[in-house]
Amino acid sequence: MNKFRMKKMIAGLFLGVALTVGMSAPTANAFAAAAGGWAKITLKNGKTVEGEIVREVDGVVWIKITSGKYDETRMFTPSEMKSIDRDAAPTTASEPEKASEATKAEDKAPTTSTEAIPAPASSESAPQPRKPGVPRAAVITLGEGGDRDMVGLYLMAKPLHDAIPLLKQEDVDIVVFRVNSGGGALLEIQKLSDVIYNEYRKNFRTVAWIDWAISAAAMTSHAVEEIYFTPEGAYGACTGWSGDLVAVKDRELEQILFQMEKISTRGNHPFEIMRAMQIMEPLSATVSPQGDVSFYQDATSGDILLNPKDRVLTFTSQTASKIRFSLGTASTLDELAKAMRLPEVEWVGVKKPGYLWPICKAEQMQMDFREKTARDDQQFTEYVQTLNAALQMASGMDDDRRARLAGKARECMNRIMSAVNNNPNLAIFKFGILPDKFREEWADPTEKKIRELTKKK
Amino acid sequence: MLSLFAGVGRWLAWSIVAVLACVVSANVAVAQDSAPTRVYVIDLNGEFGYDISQTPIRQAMRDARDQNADVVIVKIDAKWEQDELTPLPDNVAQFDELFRAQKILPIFADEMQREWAKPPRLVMWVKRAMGGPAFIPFVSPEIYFTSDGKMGGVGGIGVMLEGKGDEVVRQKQYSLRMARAEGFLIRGGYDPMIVQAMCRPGFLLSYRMEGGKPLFLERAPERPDEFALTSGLMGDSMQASVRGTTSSVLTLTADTARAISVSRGTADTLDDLVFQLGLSRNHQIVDGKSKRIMEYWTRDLNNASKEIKRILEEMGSGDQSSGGAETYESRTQARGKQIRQLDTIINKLKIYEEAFGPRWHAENRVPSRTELELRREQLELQQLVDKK
Repeated sequence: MNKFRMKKMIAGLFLGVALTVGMSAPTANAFAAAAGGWAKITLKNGKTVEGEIVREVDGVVWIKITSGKYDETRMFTPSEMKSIDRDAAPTTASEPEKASEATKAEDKAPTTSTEAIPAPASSESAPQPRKPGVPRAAVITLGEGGDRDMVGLYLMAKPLHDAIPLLKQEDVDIVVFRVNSGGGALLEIQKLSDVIYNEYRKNFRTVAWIDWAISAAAMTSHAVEEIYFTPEGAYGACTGWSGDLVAVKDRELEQILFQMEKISTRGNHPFEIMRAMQIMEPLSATVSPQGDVSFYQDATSGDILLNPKDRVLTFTSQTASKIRFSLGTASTLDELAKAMRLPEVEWVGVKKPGYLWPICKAEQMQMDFREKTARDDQQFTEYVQTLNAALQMASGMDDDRRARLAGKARECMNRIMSAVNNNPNLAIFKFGILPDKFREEWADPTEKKIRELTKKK
Repeated sequence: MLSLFAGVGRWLAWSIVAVLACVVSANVAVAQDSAPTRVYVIDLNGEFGYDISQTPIRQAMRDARDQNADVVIVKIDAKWEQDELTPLPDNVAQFDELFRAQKILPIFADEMQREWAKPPRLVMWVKRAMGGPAFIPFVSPEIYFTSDGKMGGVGGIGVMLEGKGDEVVRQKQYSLRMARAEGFLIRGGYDPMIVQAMCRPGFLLSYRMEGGKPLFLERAPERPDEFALTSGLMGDSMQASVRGTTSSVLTLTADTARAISVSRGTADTLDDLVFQLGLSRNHQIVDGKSKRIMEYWTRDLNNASKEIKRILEEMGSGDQSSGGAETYESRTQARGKQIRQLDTIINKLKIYEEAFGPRWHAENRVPSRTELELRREQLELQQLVDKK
């Protein structure tokens, strides 16, 4: 029988009582020591994790561990941990050196100066002072549903990367990605995963709050370890396809499966989950009384049938919660804070009518980006067709008329260039040209054609 | 002596104050008890996606909020017919109207939480909720049916894409659709298996009552107290098919819905319903604007639709390019008129975009907005190169 077994030890996240009280649980203050040292963390489920503590915020610890050739940064909340031994000697002498070197290398990595951050166009928030001892959290939307939710067009790595200095400027500790996207282009997934894993998770406690994460949106969210759902939340259906429902096959499929295995490791999710979301592979699971979850790649070995044979998996809030993929279900910010075990939290940003959460500067930046993309996306066909019509009509016309048409063509071209500057992926979706080839393959030849029109005959 | 009188006087004074206080507090209590529960009714009639659409529903809910409604009753009686004389059968599968319902559902969910200081008690009252409207009632934990009420017409999962593309992609499409539909039931506190039975032909579902609650079983009934909700077959018999009934997917009627606790009761009149809601002793039906909001919306849509068709006919009968006109001035004038006409259509399409979907465009032979915008640009280009 094709049977794999994996365990996910996350019981502590659910079973922890509170952040700051409890005889057996270490207090937040106990974890408040400076980051940077080698430590051995004993988890409540009995496991131990050893590595370098790279960050600590309000008791939440980020620890860099080395497994095989790779360094991996894991996050643990106080309710997951039994104790931290900060005087522990490293098990292997060479590992801490490697880890500390990696940390130093990261420290040297260029970061954007907060002084040079361009403020989003419609941001109104003034920096708010931090309340002592209270973590500051910000909500950033990944897609906003409706027509503005496509991964690769409205949900891109670049604006997320650009938002980090704004989050730092607002002194944010926790970033909540509210996901509302029906999927999109596979080409953006790795970039998004890299930004989330290498930049967000290293700087903030990073959380995904899933409302609608389908296909590429689920694959993007998979780099996040701490996932919550809304009651109606859905996550999965990650089969790659194109054209008239034609599936990605052969080598390309293997590549995507492998890519998602690696991203599953980043999110500390068993790879079988994503696999059942990508291809028709059955999946069942059993949750032990201790909260350990075992997954089986068949429909019968586990107590809970997650995906029957010949189907593709999409989680609802109920199924995700049953197997501890979702750490809680929340429909409001208060419920989310409760699920995240935050007795007190300060949500950063400006309250605006019609929004469930305050709009921070980083979120305003995403909203502005989507707004411009939507405008350009809607009018792109008009720009292109008018441009082509102007170029076509010009043949056989006199100098005066050609000049007028050249003016119109240039106006359209400028609009197209501005749209592609804001969102380079428009080059791919509208012209089928890679962004770095756009100038060479479209802009320069078009410019040449327009210049021809202005030449007097 | 003096001190004795003073003592008695003080005692009397305190007694009077105490009695007065009791009387006042009792009055306050009575006054509080006597404030009637304000009940606001929204009727959703007509064609789903056209008459029943997010803009008027949102306006009606805001009116309910402004009227300080404590209870909002949403009565759903959506058209389910091929034409005025031919009703649609139960086995018509219009699952994908889910995505239209998805634009309406947040009004009763997140928006209500956000926009109301104290969200009202939301009651869904089902007469005809077939196709997309079938998903709407599940947003509320309180559903009532009329005695002829029906909810369903959303089959097709597992078969709707048959013959298109690869199986794994079809399964992906079914999976994400089902997860969304199940999510709506989870939010309302219903068992998602109910919607599986409503949407997926071949899904075998039975139930039995345990402790006053239905226990759903993904198999055929095995005991006398177990009842089948679906046949588990992919299709229906010829008899059923001719009669327009179905057992391959679940259509909720007043009785079935009551039996599996989807419906809390059956009421044919508003008085009946108010009684069942436990409000008959002290309530007030708010004279809100919802009826007018809905009527005006439909009237404005119909007017816009007529106007668009009239302009298109007028444009169709004229010379499109205006190249046939004799002088530069007359050509310019003709193009100017056409541009104004196109602008009028484009504006109306923008305003009523949510109701003028692809089906409306096809049925009324109205070109898409992009096409009209391109036509407008074409006219401007022609004007640009025209000479006196």
